[in-house]
Amino acid sequence: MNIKRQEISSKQLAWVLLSPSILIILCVVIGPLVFALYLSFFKAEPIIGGISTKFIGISNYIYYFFKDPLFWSSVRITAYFTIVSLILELILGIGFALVLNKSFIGRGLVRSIILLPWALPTVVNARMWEWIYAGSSFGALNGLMKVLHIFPVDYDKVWLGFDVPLQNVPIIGQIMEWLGASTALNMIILADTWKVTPLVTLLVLAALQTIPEDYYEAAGIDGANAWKQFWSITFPLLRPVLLVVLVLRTMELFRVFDIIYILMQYSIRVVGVYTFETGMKFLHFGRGSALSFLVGLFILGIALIYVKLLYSEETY
Amino acid sequence: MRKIILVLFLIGVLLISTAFTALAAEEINVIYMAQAAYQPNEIRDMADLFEELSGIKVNLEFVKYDEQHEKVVASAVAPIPTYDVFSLDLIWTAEFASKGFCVDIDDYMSPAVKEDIAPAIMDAFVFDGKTWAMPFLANFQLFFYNLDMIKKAGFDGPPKTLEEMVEQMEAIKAKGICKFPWTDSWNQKEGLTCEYVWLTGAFGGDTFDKDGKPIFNTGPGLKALEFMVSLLDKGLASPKSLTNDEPAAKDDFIAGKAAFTSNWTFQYGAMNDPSVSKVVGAGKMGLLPVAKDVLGKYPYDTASVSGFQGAAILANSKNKDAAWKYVRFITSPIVQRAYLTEMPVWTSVQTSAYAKTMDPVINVKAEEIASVHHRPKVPPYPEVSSILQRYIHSALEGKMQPKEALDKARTEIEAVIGL
Amino acid sequence: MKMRKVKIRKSISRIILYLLVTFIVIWTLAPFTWLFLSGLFPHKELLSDRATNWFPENPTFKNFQVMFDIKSHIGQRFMYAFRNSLIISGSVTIICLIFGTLAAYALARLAFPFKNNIVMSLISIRMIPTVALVIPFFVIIRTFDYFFININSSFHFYDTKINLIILYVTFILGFVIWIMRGFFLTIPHELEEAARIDGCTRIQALTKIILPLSAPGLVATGIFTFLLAWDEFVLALVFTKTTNSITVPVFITSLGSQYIHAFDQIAASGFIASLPPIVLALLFQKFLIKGLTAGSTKG
Repeated sequence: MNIKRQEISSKQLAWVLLSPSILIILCVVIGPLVFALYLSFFKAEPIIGGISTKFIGISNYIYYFFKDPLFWSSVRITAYFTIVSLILELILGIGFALVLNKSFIGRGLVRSIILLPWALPTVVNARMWEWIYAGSSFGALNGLMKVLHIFPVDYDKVWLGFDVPLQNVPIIGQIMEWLGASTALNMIILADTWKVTPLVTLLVLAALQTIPEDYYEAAGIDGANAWKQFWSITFPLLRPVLLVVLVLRTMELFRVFDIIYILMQYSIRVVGVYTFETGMKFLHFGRGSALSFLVGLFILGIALIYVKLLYSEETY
Repeated sequence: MRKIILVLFLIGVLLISTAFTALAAEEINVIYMAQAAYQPNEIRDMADLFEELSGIKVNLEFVKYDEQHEKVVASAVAPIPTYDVFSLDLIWTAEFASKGFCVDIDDYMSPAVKEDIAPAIMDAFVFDGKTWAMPFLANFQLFFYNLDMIKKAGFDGPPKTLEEMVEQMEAIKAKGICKFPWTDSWNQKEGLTCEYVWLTGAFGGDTFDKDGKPIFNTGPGLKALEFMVSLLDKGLASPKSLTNDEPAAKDDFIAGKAAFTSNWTFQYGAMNDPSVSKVVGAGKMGLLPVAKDVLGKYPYDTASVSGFQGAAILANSKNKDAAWKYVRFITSPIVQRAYLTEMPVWTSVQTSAYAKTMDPVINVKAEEIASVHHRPKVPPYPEVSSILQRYIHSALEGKMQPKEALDKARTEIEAVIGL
Repeated sequence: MKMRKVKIRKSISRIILYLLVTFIVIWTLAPFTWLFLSGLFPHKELLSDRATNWFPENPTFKNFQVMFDIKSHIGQRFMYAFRNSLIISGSVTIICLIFGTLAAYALARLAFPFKNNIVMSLISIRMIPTVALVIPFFVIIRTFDYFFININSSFHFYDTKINLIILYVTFILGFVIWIMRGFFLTIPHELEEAARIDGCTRIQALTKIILPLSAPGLVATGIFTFLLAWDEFVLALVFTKTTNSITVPVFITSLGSQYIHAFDQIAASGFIASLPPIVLALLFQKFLIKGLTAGSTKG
């Protein structure tokens, strides 16, 4: 009797519990997103006491797709940043996790320490690497290169420079150039990877610990070497967690702003930086909104695809 | 568990209420925002004295130059004025005036005030026939050279022309005295536009004409960019220049890693400060050289770029009169006389005997300041400058020919201005 | 003979393992150590040649001390920023935990229409880039402030902590719900059912059975939320102006100027600013890892 009454109210209870969250999210995210869509059909600029608006239809979108020289290049740079970072993070993360999964003296301590970069605030991380990359003799990386005799004593590399690595290699050089893969961007990728790798490591490590030891023993008896064991046992079992990492990181990477803005201001225009510049520096609120909306839509698209994948993965 | 939730909730309420009270407790009369050669404690000293004299409390806020534009705009369009007074970089004059962000101060200024400030300085803050800010800081670029290196390379003194300078640099490089004799702030920021403007001046022209139309892709503007590119090609300019901002260029110079550079007035102090500089005595300041062709053609054989800052009053300020009092105070001759490390804006102070005894190089500065070129005075300046920076930078990186880069920049800028 | 070979192979693989571990430790610690060391450099020595000068000749704690010196301009700003960051991150954490837990429970345990759609949209919302919402936020907040001024209220959003708290809560809430839901899903149904047969209501079951069991999850999620709020930069950059509301990231970005590269101060303040998140992360490491894995693999 008692239980039955509750069963009936379960639907209502759900809405009661959910409503504060849904309300907040509706008002503060969906509302502004719709507003961004609305603004994107206007030429809107701030003036004293208000905003001057003029309806211009889809001109802002046409501008980005067909006229703007920077839009597509910013998409390319962002894609490069995202993909290269992802690859690096996954390789380092899995590698570190495999090492930390072995037993050695001080394992607990090392597993704790490894969390440190991840806890470091992004802004501190950016400024720290800015200082390490200083393109002069007082830069730590240049100093390190000299200590290791990789660089001659009187050579200082400009780590945050715009030269493109492999520039002179045919085809690859051109592709790198087309992507906007400057040294600066690559170094920023490294800095960002340093911060995020621990997250990947920990997730993979946790998954590794759930793999029963006898799987490997059985494989060992069958004569499979470490490499084979990794691909036939470890990797398939890591798949779900790797998928999660892929989802989370792609979103985070595609919307990167902080580290690039702090290190390079507006000179490396990933979409995040470009949106910010258009809206908050040039004060083109309408055009900036159009860009925001495109970026938001794109990311939502990827998000949905991934969520679908995640669900299908769960049903196996 | 319920207790824990209750406790959590209470802590939450407490935290939020402190957030509210902190907001109500601070009372603000005049807020000033500055990013200038004056150090924050110096600005604070001025404000303290002003508080003492006027009874008006001054709250100061400092932000980085790069962020100041955004912050002022945000404050200007907000209904609650976060700032009453702000320091206005001359490049924003057209934009802020046309958008009505700040008030024109012509009515506040007495004729005597106007007379004592040189037109070259005052003009920077005039748009649409009205004055929008009180000149506060007369910043401009100067030439810095390492005399020891020049002498070691076998020359007597600093170069008078750009051609001479190149000759000296080649000798310095050839003799291994310095690997990259030239350093500068050529990263993709406002500094690059400044360097380009004075170099265009050094080749005898301006980047924009009097009607605000871009003309930089021919003549002096083109020569200036070609000159910059040639310094890089010959290995005379440090490749690091492409990522340097002004302090980084200064650091190169005072660390003894360059023979020549152009920079704002602040470098003079740093260069002669033994606690940071390795070139005390060797590092000298002089007039920026010009191209051989333009020697003798203009009143001064030098060219510079203006980086003046004014003190302006936000249009949504509720305390405009108090704000003006403060502006008048910090820009007054008597205050500027106390800070002669910066170039005073007042003619009477510049030429006073006191200034001459206190600042041995004031004559050099006075000559340089008279030959400044302004950056274009167009309302969408941030966008215009950003386009210029982008194309100049890609020419410097060698991704485009100078002519092609400037042509493209001009087309894009025309589209922006024409909007 | 064969035994010896196996032994040698084993010890070689040990050596390689320890080399790899050493590499990981250096890779992890070196940059941060350098940050701390840089804070000890007096300004003059900062620019010395790094190939030889890795340690300051005259180490000084001045850069660290000045951050706590309420009388100096920089110290005052830092202390305000630090306090603001604590208040904002703390409030956001608590609010998110309360609302997030309730919603997550509903999504994990109750049956109702559109459930899957709601879960999906929550995840998606977490993915929307903050940068994309800066412009509409800016316009909307300005409009609200005009409204407040028109009704002669002294309350406003711009440059206040409450504004940042609201914005942060929204962005983080979806994430909290997602992780907490994952946690609740790991708790066996039977426990709750047993409690309900004993006469507990849903809410009682939640507070008496589920929450205590998911305490590690709550801690992990709380720390996560705190870190995210402590870390946030874009919104703080746009919506804070004065010591009323500037946060630590904004303070650290504002160090240095057009004329000075204050890397000694940046290093010192950066080091201090990293301590709260690092300490939290290290202290509650176990919970964090559990929370992360439970939350993220049970999509």
